[in-house]
Amino acid sequence: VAIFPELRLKFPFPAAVDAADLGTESSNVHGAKTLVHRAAIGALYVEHGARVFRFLRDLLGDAVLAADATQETFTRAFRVLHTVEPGRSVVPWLFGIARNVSLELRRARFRAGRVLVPEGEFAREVSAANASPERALLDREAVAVVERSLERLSEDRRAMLLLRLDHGLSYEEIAKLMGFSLAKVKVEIFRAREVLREAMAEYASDVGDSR
Amino acid sequence: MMQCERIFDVEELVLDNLSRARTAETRAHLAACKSCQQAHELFASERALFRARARAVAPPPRAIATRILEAAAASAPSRNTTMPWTQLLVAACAVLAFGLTTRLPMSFPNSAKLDEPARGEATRIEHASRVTDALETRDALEGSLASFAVEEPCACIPTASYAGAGQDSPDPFSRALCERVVTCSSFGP
Repeated sequence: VAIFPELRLKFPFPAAVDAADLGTESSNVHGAKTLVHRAAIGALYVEHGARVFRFLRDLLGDAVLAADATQETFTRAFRVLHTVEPGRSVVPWLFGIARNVSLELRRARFRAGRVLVPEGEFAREVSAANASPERALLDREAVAVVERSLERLSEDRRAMLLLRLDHGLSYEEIAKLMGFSLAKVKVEIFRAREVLREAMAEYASDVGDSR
Repeated sequence: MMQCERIFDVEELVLDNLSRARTAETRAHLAACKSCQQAHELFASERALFRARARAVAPPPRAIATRILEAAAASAPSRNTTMPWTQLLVAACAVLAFGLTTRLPMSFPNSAKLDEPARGEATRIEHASRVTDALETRDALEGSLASFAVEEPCACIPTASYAGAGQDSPDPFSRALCERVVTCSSFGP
């Protein structure tokens, strides 16, 4: 916890920590440890859980698998929290763990004879909570366009595009996270963008034809 | 059309990755550069697409949070198993110094000499200040966090003795450290 100034700001996570822990266990070391462990991981999850889940879901193409992978990501992150250098953002580090988890799951699935992300099928539920009908429609269209392009990308290229455009990581952070050179990352993202723009253009022409 | 060399700044601007000063600078450039305006429009439409999609994609199931908290409660964070070589060196020196002071009591014939920072002692003090700094940092987060810091691996004193050894530790150095621990801790004696 002390490593991350931003976590300290987010520290008031005890909503998710049982009040019973505070009352009955804080008088001994075990209780305090438990409390701190849970608060640290809770703060990380509150801050980054949704985007890590979305990233994993985009890579794995399966919400149930992504949920398991998210849990594994945060559990691993928690175990090695101390390895993050002070003052550095936890986001690239967290996405690095998430990507490793997704690759491991992918390999395990491949060995078991099952293939992830069937071609042309990126099944997912779309949340319509708190959205006006027009906005919900636009959002659904955005989902369709992005997914049409993601389906056409290799796993690496997809990961890089998502890290850049969906999660706003810098090229340098992506290069470090993926283990590629900066030049390669720029080229790969440039090419992935071309595919995305193609999908955007196709969508625009589809809409034009239907009118 | 020739691509402007500031195009990466324009991209970072769209992703909100620039400092305030750089943002103002890039905006000023954007107002005057046709090529960057076109690029900005394209980047902004991509960004808007992903933002809209982020809103539309269902959030993670609530059960994940519970499962993560349970997993965290069940497992403690691992110790530093892969220390950087500098830390390893400091730790090794500290262990050596500790070994020398316990094996060769004559090297510290009286308590006055303890105040003279011998080289090994200096290393230990440096290490100790690292540990106590950590304790103090954690102590700033109220509650019982000092006891969490007690778990920090330390080359000077066995981890197990941190909490319990307190006032009756035979080693004046570790006694001082443990007193700090007790001071920081909210657990009392």
